Amino acid sequence: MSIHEVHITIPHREAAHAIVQRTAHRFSGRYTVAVADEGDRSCVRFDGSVETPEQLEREFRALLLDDMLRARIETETASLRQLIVEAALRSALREPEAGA
Amino acid sequence: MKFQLISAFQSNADSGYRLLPFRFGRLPDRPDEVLVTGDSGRFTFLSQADFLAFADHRLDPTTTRARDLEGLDLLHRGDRPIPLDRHAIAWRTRKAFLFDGPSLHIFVVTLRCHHSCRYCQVSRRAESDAGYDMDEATARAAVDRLFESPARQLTVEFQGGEPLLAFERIRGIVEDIAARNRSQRRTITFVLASTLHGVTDEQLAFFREHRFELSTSLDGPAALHDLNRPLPTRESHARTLAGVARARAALGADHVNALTTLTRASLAHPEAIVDHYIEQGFTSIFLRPLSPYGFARRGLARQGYATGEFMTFYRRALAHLIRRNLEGHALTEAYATLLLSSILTPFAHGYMDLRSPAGAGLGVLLYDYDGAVYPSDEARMLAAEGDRRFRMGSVHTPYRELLLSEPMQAILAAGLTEGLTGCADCVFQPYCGADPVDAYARQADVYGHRPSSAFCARQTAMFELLFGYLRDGDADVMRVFQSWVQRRAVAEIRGEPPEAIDAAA
Repeated sequence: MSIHEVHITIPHREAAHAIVQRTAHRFSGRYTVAVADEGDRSCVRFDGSVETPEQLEREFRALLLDDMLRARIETETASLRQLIVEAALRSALREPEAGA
Repeated sequence: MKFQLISAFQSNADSGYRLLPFRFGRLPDRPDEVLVTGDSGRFTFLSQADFLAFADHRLDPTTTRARDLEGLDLLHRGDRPIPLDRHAIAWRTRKAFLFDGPSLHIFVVTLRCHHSCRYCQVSRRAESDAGYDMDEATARAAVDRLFESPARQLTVEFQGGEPLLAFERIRGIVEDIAARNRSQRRTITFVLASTLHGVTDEQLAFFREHRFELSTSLDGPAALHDLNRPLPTRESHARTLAGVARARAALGADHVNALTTLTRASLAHPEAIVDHYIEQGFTSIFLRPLSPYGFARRGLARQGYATGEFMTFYRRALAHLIRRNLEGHALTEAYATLLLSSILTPFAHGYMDLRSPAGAGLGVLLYDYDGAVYPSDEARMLAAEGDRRFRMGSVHTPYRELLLSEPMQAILAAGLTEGLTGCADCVFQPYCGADPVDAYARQADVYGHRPSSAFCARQTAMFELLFGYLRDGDADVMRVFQSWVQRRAVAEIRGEPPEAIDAAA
């Protein structure tokens, strides 16, 4: 028997709301997903045919951990990535025939 | 001038190294390993423990592992300045297409065709219909636009319908281009996409004179080909092979290629399709799934299939291709070769559908028979169904206005995988691309929705399949892949895993 509505609550102290949204979006091809910011926590609601809610929650939390790490890496490397792209574009304008 | 904060240049928490930009993910059948890809396209597999140590700055920077990761441009050890110029060159090399402007110019010289293919993407017209050929004034204006493009290397492709039904227009366009190119001095390749049925000696002599590349459709053995591409006389397959033979005799075998389009009926025959290409002496096969355009859209219910079904077919076909290559038959799969080139070399591939920024408009301009200009063949197909939202203008619109047109604004906004939800943090982003026209055709939204996108599902499955092979590192398979990427015989390739695999060993 499948369940049609599953709720997962993530306190903000565990993961920022934006990161919970990012993870929830990954499930939006399989379920109708709604994410609400409820003060100190994010509430994710999945609508659809869910065979094992526990497995869904395990999968969600595993992907959430990855997305938290991705967010940290992005924060750490974003300025460097921007510098590299700017340098590449500058060099292309300076020497349009070189390096391409 | 603005300067970055000093923290942007400092090592994190004195760990002895800085992370360089990268993405990560896992292959479905290897959940305990992490695939890490850098912006330069170099990659490695790490155990979960090693990956977390690396990302958390707990890796000893003096270890071989740290040096390997530095060699792959995934971290930078010590306090020395990061060599921005070197990383910028790597980025620029992968995005080289961005600095060329449109290099592929497609001329749809007629919509008329003598076939009634079940999967036809084009809204074709009957051979005898009038008013569906490009006129001379339109052709001359399109050539004006062609030479306004800044690209030094141009590909001019003739499509239809069946373009041979408008051969005199092709001749006029080629002669016009050749005359103007005496002063322009561009490098120009001509391509003809044709059934080759009824191609004449005079036409072949013209194609030889102008060094054409001929591309035809061959869907497999006769029963399958004739089912997919019916003619009233039921001899499409025989006529295609006859056309291929005459074209090879005139131009040389290297200048005649074939593509296969896969219908539901094709999916049961991966080995037979591959073997048929070998029997017919081709050196490349492009296993293309159906497109959601034109007449094909109406036939999808009958001929279509899910991504999973396509991938089951593709896995069998690829495994068979690898076996046959190791037996000495040199036959590449074009799509796998494109992806592998992107994964295993620092260079950009030329494939328009897998660029970021999108290839539509930025890499391709299409001149329709009626003078409309579109950013891709797919945009023209949508227009033929009545949806003209991607019409950039006409052949009489200056190049600059075409590139600044409203459809191009939409394509530019939605055509950058680095900024699209679901793409930006995807581990396969360095090798993949955005196609807002395709996203719109499939999902009625130029941005698309990756979790429910068939395009994304297929791309992801393809990358997972190829990276699975790369991770396994079988020496024979690596030789085949390298032979495809390097365009050399398998026997000339030494069996070595990609350098990146060493880091996971």
